[in-house]
Parts: sequence; C-alpha cells; structure tokens
Amino acid sequence: MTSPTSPELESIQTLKQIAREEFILPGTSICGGCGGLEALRLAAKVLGPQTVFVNAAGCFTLLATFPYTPFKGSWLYTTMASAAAGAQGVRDALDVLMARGKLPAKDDVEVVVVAGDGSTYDIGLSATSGAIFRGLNFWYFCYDNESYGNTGMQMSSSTPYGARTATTPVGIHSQAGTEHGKKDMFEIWRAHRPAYVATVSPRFPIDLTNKFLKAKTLRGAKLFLAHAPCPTGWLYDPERTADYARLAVETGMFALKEAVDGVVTHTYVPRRHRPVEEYLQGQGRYRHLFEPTRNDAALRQIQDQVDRYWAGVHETTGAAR
Amino acid sequence: MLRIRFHGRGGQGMKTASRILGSAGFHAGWIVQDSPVYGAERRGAPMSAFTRLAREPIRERGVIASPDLVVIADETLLADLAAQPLLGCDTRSTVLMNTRKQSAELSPLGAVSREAIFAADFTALALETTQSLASLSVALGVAAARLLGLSLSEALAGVTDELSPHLSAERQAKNVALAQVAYARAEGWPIIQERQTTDSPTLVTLVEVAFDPPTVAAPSIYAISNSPERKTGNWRQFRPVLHAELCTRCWICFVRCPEAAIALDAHDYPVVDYDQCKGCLLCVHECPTHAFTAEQEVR
Amino acid sequence: MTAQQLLTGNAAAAWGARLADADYIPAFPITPQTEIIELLAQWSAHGEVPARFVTLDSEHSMLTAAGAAAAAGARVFTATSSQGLLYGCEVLYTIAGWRVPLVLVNVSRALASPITLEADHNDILAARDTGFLQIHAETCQEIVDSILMGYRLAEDEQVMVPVLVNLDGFTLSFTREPVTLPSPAAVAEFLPAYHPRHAYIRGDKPMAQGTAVLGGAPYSYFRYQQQRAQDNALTIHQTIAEEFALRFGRRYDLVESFQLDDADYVLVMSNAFASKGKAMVQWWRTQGRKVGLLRLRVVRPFPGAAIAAALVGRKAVAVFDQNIAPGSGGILYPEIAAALYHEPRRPPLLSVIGGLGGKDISAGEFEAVFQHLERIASGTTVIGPLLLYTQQERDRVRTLLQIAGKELSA
Repeated sequence: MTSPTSPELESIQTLKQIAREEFILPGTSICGGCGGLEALRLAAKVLGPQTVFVNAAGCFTLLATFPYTPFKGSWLYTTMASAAAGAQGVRDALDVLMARGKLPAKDDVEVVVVAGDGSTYDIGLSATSGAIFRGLNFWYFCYDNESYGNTGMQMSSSTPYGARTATTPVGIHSQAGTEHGKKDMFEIWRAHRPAYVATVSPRFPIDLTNKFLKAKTLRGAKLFLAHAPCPTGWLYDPERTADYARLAVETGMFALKEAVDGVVTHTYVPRRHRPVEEYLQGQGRYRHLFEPTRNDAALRQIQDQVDRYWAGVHETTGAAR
Repeated sequence: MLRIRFHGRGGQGMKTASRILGSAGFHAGWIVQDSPVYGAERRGAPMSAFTRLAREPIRERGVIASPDLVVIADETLLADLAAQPLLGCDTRSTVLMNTRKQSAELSPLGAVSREAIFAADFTALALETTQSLASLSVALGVAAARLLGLSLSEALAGVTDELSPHLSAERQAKNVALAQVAYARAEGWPIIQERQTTDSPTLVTLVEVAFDPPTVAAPSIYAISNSPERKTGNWRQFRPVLHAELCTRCWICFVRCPEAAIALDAHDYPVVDYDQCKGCLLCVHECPTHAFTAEQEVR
Repeated sequence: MTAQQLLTGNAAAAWGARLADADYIPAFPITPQTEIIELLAQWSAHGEVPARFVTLDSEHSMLTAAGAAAAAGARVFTATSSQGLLYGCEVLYTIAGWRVPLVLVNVSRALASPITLEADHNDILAARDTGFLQIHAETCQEIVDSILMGYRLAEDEQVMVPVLVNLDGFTLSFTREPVTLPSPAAVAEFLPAYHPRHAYIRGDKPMAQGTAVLGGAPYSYFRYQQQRAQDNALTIHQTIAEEFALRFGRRYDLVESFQLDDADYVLVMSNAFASKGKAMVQWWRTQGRKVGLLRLRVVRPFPGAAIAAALVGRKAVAVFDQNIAPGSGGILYPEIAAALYHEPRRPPLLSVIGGLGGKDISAGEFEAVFQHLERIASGTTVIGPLLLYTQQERDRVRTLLQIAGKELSA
C-alpha cells in the first residue's frame, strides 16, 4: 500500500500512481454520483491522514453526521461564513503550541477548508479574503456545484448565466433563468496573491493530483476550485457525472488552470473546443434553453463568453495572453 | 381519523405519493394534513411522509406514531434501522408494499398479519406504463387512495393536482393511465375503516439527564472513519456487476467512484463493496470495455 | 503581595490575559475595547507574552478563530464590544456547543440604532442564552481577577464551557484605578496549563468536532449537557472563589452583598454603576434608612438560590436594569422575579430602567427610586418599569429635537 499518493513524487503521469488507500471512507449521507466528493476523495489521497478539514455549512457538512465520520483525519465544522477563520485559529493554535513545546512537530496537521460555492463565493468570502491576506498557510477546497445545493439548489453567485435554480426560475421576467454571470472566484483569489490557486475537475484526476502535489511544496494559501457536477441539482442521471465534468472542460466552460505566485497557466488546453451545447444539453437546469423552443440568444451568449475567454489564452503554452 | 405513513428512499417519490393521497382526500371532502420528513440524506436514503384524513379538524402534528396504513416503497426499508417502517404498527394496521414477491410469499410483518398486507409490483406497473421509476409516486399514492375507499375520480384529481406542470402532455397522460392501472390493481382489496376508539396514552418514564464529562458531552466523534458501519448499499436500485473477463484492470472505475466503494484486489481487479455502493453507476458508464453491467436489485 | 498600580479597565483586562499565559489572541478593533488588543499586540510584538496575536477581518471571524484554536487545544483570550459581540453572536453558540473553554471580554456599549458609544448592557445580555458563563465586573481589580477565575472555571472538567467577562465601556474601560496584579508565579499555581483531554487537533489522535447531530433526542442530550455544566459551575465557582481568596486575599461570590444584613430595602445592581448604588446606600445609612445592595456578579449560570436568599423578607426591592427589552422591559427583572416566585416571603419588586446609553444615574434619581420603594412597601402597586429620566433631561432632549427641526407639541 502506498499512503498517501507517494509523497516522494513530484508529479504523476498515470492513473495507477494514484494512492490505493482511501482517506474518506464510504457510508456518508452524500448523494450517489457526487462530483464534489469524487474530487475531495482524490485530493485527500494527496493530503493524507494528518489533515483537519475545517468545514463551512453546505452539503459536505453531512459528511460527519453524529455518530459517524468518514475521515481518517480530523474534522471541525464551524459556521457557513467563517471556515477560513476557523482554519486561521487551528493553524495558529498548532503553530503556537509547537513553538511553546506543547505539541510535537510530528503531530502537526494540514489545515484544509472544505466549503461549497455558497460559502466560498458569497457568505464566507470576507473571511477567506482575510485568511489569504494574512498569508495563512492553509488549503482551501471549494466543491463548486454552482448553487446552494444543500438547501435545494438556489442561486449562488457561482450559478452560471442561463442555469435555472429554485430561486431563478424561468418566467416572464427571465427566459434564461439566472441572468447574472458567475463570479470569477479564481481571479478574485488570485488578486490576493496567494501562493497557489488552481481549478480542478474530478474527471481529470492526474491533473488534480499533480496540482495538490505541487501545492504541497508551497507555503501560504493554496486554493482550489473543484468543478462539482451535481446530479441532484443539475438534474441528470448520476452515472453521467464524469461526462459532464469532462464536457465542461472540453467545451471550455471550465478551464483547468493554476496560478503560482500569480502567474496563470492553463494545465489543459483542448485542441479544439466542443460547442458548449454538448455540455448544456441533457442537464435539467439548462433544459429551458432547448425546450420547448430553443433560446438561441442565450446559447450564443454562453458560447461567446467561452470564446472570449479562450481568445485570451495562448493555445500551446496555456499562458494568459 | 385515518393516518397513513409512507416510507421510501429519496428519489422514489413518497413525498409526492403522500400529497397525491392528501389531495385526493381533500377532493373527497375530508379534512387533510400531509407532510414529509427527511433528514439530511439525499437520493436513496430513507425518508417518510405522512397523510392524515379526518372528518374533524386535525389536532395532530408531525410524525404518525400509530399508523392505520403503512405504504412501503421499497422492501429493503424493512431491514433498515434508519427507516423502521413498521414502528408503531399494531394488529389494526395495514401494510401496502411495493415488492416483486407475491402476497403468498410474504410473512407477517411484526403485529401485522398476512391478511393485512397487500403487495404488488408497482415498480413494474410504473415501468410498463410510463417507462419512468419516478411514477412510483402515482402508483402508490393511488393504490393507497383506493385502500382508504376514495373513488377513482377523486384519486385522479389528486394525481392531476400533484403532477409537475413541467411534464409534457404525453407524460401527463401516461401518469393518468398508470393511476388507472394502479387503482384497478388495488380494487380487490378491502377498504380500511377509521378506528372507532382512541387508545389511551401509555405513560412513559421521564429520566434525568445527568452531567457527563466533556469527553462524552460534546458532539465529537473519537471513533475515526467509522462511517462504513452505516451501510449505504441499500440505497441502490441497480447494482454494478463486474464481468472480469472484460476487465483490463485500467483503474478507471476505482478512480472515478466518488464513494470509495470500489477497491482493487492484489491483481488490480476492482472489487465493489456492495455494503456501501449507492448505485450511482458511474463505474458502469465509465468502463471503457463495458466490463460492468447494471443489474436491477432483487430484494 | 505586589504593590498596587493604576490601570484602566482595558489594561486590567489585557493583564488578565497576560497573567493567564494565553497561547492565542485573535483580535478585531471596536470602541471602547480597542485598548485591550493594542496592549496585547505590543506585548506580543516585544516578546513580553508568548501568545500569538492575530488581527482578524471581523468579530465573526475573530470568534471563529478563537473557538477553533481552543478546539485545537490552545488557551485563548479575545475581546470585543457591543455591535461586535452581536456580529459574532452565532459563533458564541458554536463555541459553547463545541464545549471548548476560552475567555472573552466584552466591554459593554449600548447598541445601535441609534449608534452610540457609552455603556449599557443590551450587548452582554443578548449573549445570555449562548451557553457562555458570564461574570460582570464592578472594578478594574475585579476584571483581572475574574479573567483568572474565569479560566479556572472554563477549563474545569466539571464545567468546560467558555466564559464572558463583562466590564462597562468608559466607566471602567477608560477609568484608571488602583489594581493589585498577582505575580505570574502565583497565577501559574492557581491556574495551571490547559491540557484538554476531550478536544484537540493532533495528527496522532484525530477526531471529528462540531459534527451535525440530526434527530431531536441526541440534540436534546447535547444541549442539556450545557445546562448541566452551568449547574456545576455554581458550585465549582465557589470552590475556586475560596481558593482565590486564600491565595490572593480577595473574595468574590456569585453575588455580592453590600450592607444587606439588616436592610429593609435593597437595590439590585450590576457592573460599574453598582459603585454608585453603594455610595447611595452609605448615604442612606447615615440618614438612618436601612438600605442595602445586592450586586449581580455571575449572571450565567443564574444564581437564583443565592439571589432569593438575599432578598426574601425585605420590605421592597428595586431591580436596576441598565438595558431595555422593548415590549418587555428590563431583562434581569423577570429573572429575579422568577428566582423569588416560590418563596413565601418574597418581597415586593420594583423594575427600574436606568443608565441607558451610559446616561448617568444621579443621587436624585436614586432618591426617587427609594421613594417608590417606600410606596410599594406600604402596599401601593407600581406597574413598572420605572424609567430613570429626569425633567431636566426631558427639557434638554426637547431642545435637541427642536434643533433637529422636529415639530414638538406643547
């Protein structure tokens, strides 16, 4: 058994270098086919057992539901708005306890915020901004299913234009559902100059693993946005989670990238982007763009936005132009 | 008062079934109350819903402790500690069960005798008529309405009220057809009567909650990674079955499984933990050599 | 015994944290608390305290960091005031629910709106149901002492809940008076290092804290455990108070009795203005009036038995609330009435609201209260609350209203 993903590795090239050992065990209340859990599980294989997940209210709060926990490491549920501040308290406490000889260095742990997009993009943004600003040495894992999922799929500021949610229904005032564009959290985070920012997708496990391996060598804020296809909220069959994760990347709607010390690199640039419709079609949250009549204007707007984004990316190096 | 408790798994439509029955009763002139209760769990996890029908204003709330009728959407719930569908049933309770078994194959369920258990394969009825498992709500809601003596037109009115307005006309029609079939299926069964007497409450013993030390009294968990004790395998409606001869040991299913319910054996063949697998079928869908097939659970 | 020195209430609070040898001090500025964190920041910067000092981005974050650090096994001190306490209020419940000890100082300041600066107790009493213990200090000396006692109480395995120590903005926070600081060595004997057995974060002994608890029965169990911990705190406090008195020569009980032995009339007060009440009692005594004062010190757990014992059989009792619950009246009054309800010799009670927004309570106003006490003692019913607001103050406010362009009726 390798545990965790061979720490001596700087990067992996094949799936078979991913750790066999699991650090988040089954038996939880999370929906079957959850893309966010898939991403977190892969991340945990790099982080290993000496980890405390500091959680903000969201779907994943149900991972540790008394009297059961799936984690081999530790867990602390805080509030919806302040998980990053919780990470601050834990990290600072461990540092000072070690400095004062009250905790052996071997018992130190990685401090990892686990939060959904509702917390990350909305109510918890201020606390996260503060933690990055203070140079806190911590990880932040956002499972981004583009809505308040735990409360039944209401719009968050991560909800993309054109998606229907429980609070942005299609109606006489909006044919698109959500009229706002998704906040660019990657850029908001990057503007804070953290040590590392990356997007990851559960369907790209080697890319995901390598980003966590790279971040492990860095001190400071290490921030991850994980694309988290959500069968329950996006209204598709759970077996298709990996399909939508893949299509999001191949259509260019979800860019795989990282920024080290602020310098952006796209870690995967599809040679030719598929039309966004391939990603949108089949997801119930976008059905109104196709039925009963096609909403060409909205579809074009989504495609244009993606095209504009990639026009700014160098097609071979993946660097921002 | 008639008290009906529905037990299902998230996604099986038992909240809708309880509302179909509630609406049907309302159309029939009863005073009605219906409500679902679900924990934090999602698709596949046990949930329940309650419908009360009465001739007088209903002065009850929340859970139904002593049901006249229990509707069970999924036989696996019987053994699920999180569901306990038979809780509070007595000799006057009736059970309506969705099962592939014939009534004759069924044994008594706690205090409920075989004569008070009515069973049919509503899943098959739903699949035949609407090609959708989501229609189980219609089938069971209507069958329950029939068991309570509501007429077909009242039951259909309940179905029409509760069907999503987003459904196409074709799907609406198929659901109405299913309602008629399900009603007919239940027509041979006796009609449940209201209880004439009210049981006196049974006195319970109240106990002191004494001080416990903080090692005990905080909601923390010291038994690390104990979640597998809570089996989620019974969330499945379909199970992934490996055909090893087709497997190339590529690790894709192992890597993709969100649940960590697939391990690799010493030779890199995947081993599905059926105690835990929730049946999302990502592995079936993702396997490049189609070495996994999905097979409907027979329970 | 070390010599006395002049300290503000805020400096006294900072010294409490320093003597308690806190590991971690998350901070966020708010008037009139800011001097506490400024002092601690300086001491930390100069290596005079080993604690890690970090400025957070809000009180909500500050309290989360404080609680999380305590959950990781550190001894934590932090301070706030008024709006800050309310902004972080959610987290107070969270910390108490985690059952981790820390000391939070609140410098009382009246709440907006209208926004203001001086003290009343709506802030601290808004936190009365959070699960924190509450100790309300009257003097700068008592601030230091209550912080040290607070850690002992919070970290006691028979209690293990966080503590709020309250002091009044301006009237204590910025007021210097003589304070005796105990020696660090003596404090270390009284308050040994914190070694939690129930809540910590360590790589070798993982645990899940603050987990979701679904279902009313386990939730009831965990919530009621907080009640039991506070029950225990009533007796543990007295044990700690005795030890503190032996070591340091100052005795603090759950409530303080001032000239109560033969008192016919009693004022019930708390915090800094209790000093003014005591001065009045002394004056009345020179006039042959048998008046005493009961100072509420530990407000959570609520020492109902001690309060009842102090008040039964009196001719009349005035409960001063330096706060207002609109629609109900004073916040402490009904709690005290409840403590007396089962007493056959319960006294007539007068509800008094005074000192809102730091408004002074003059000797003349105390006299007016005494007049009311005599009336209710002789059988007159007074429907409270009685607001301390003088004719002169009304005239002054009318002038302000006119300047603001308000049309006033004659």
